[in-house]
Amino acid sequence: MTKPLLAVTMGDPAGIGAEIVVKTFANPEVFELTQPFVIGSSECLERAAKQTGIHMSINRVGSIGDLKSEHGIQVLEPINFDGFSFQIGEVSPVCGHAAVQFFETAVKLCQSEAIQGVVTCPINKEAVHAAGYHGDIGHQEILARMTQSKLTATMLMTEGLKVAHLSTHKSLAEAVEYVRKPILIEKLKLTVDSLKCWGIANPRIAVAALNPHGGEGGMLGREEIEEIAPAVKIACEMGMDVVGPYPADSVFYRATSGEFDAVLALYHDQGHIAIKMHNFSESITATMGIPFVRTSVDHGTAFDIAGKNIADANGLKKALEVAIAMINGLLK
Amino acid sequence: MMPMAITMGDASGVGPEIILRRYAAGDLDENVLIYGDAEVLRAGSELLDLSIELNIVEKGSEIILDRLNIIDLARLDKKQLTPGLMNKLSASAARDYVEKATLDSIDGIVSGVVTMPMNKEATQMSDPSFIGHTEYIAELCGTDNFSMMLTTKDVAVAHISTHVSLANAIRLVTRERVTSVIELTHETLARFIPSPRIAVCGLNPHAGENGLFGDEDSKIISLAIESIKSTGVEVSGPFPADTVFYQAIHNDRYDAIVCMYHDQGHGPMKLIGFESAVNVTIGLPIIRTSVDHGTAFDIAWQGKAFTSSLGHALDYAWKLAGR
Repeated sequence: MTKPLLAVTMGDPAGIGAEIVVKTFANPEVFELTQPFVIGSSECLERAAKQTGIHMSINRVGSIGDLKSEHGIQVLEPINFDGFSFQIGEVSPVCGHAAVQFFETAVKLCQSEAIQGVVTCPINKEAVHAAGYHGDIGHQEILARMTQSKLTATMLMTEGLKVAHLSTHKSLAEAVEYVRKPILIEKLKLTVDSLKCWGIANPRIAVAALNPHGGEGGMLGREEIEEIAPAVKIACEMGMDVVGPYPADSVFYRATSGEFDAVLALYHDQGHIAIKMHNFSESITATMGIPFVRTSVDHGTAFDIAGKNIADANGLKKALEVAIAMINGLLK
Repeated sequence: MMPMAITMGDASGVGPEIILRRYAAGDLDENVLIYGDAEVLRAGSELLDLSIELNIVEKGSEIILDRLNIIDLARLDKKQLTPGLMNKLSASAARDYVEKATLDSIDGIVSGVVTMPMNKEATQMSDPSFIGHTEYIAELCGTDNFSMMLTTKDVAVAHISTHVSLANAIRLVTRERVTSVIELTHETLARFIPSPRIAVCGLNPHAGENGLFGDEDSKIISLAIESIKSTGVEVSGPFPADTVFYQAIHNDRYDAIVCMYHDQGHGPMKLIGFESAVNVTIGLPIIRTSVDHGTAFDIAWQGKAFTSSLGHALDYAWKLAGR
């Protein structure tokens, strides 16, 4: 096998994962620069192929060594999973367990460098919890546990806009407290290093302001003066190309017109609002701070529409394209 | 109906230029009354090479439909037309236009007020206590229970707070304030939409995710929504802020969104598009709308500024007035 190997985890079997996998693998473009394969359940994928009316080969492989350079779906089944033991669209421990197993298998393969990256379909927090994984709320926590990485973070991406976050799952009051020089510098460095590694040689990052109008010279908050501007200055002295802070109601617009390669948002909604306004259906996430490529769709298991052949597979297609570009150092 | 007032704004900025250019192009509603300086408008017409006939309206006199009608405050002479420069006199005159128009609106002499931009820094040269255009009007009206609403053709966005730090904005999310802004939003839109659908944003990521990321959403915002809902208002939430705008704009799910802080509303609105945006002050005893741009000193009196925002602001004011 000469092409890089890329795993796509099927996610929670009761969700839309299998359906969007089938729809995405039907596109021959995804096989051009990598050899993608699925970690999941062949029974679920066969059912999804039937429901969507997509004809393609679905072959089980016993190990990575058995993967062939070919189109269609090749699926690795790390556990004996009964594809008929659960209800589509419902939370169940058996599906939560399977989803974690699929992902853990992919991470181990990445860590042993048998494969070059992983793209994840959504898992369900409640199902994971019901399966007994109490510390693992989502993919991010599983990754942090398995890779022991000290600093990981998520970057949101859509066509023409990339956004890293200083914090994501904190209350807004805690997120404001988190706006501190050392944390800003650490996240800027992580963002710059990640983009370089993925193929952007000299990334230019703009930092969003925390307060309205960028604090208006201290009249509307002092974080810009006391924390953010000094952090930007230090980052520049360290050799990074960082600008800002710029008011949040214009910085994203400027980024979409090509002025910056990425924006560092200072709290969850600041970045998420911008990404979703810019392009709702094709936004994806990438994990920074781990030694391999991992991208993910930016939507949930969508239990309400699972099994109905109406799920939009654009997000997964995009996540795959971005992962392929990252593995090849060709991210734009 | 009584005419709609348009305050001319700071003469150094794009305000008067936009009025003149729109009028010359035949795009200005006839039933408007400019509050400003006649000499500046005359000198400005010359500068722009436009031929415009002014009618100076005296107390009690009528407006003339084929003229540009103006209440002349005669604060400036033509030497004070200083395009693009910070000018203490033109800034302070701009504040006086607003004062006169607001008081006339309270007295029912005009149907409402559409304001062209003032420059905060320039105004503070003569009035250091000047905080902002909207705050000044609210003070003249004797109210502190108002909110800034941004509107486009798709959706109206009201704010719990605007010009405060984010840390203070969080503290201003109280049950009383959230209740009051939802009520003001309903009252404003109900003038032209029979039963406006209002969505309320959460404060925290994922609207708090059941208390996992902060409890303001479940302890404050939800309670305000429930109490208003029981009075028959079509209001729902709190919703994650990153999906509610999409639902309102692309799926026509809501007529209005109530945001918890400045950037939560301004961020998405700026990404949607600047052009049709109008700024409406809700909660005042008068109608007040404003263009959604500043004095733009860098391009003032060069014939470059877009004039469409004035049209949108005027249309919205008339809509609120019931025309």
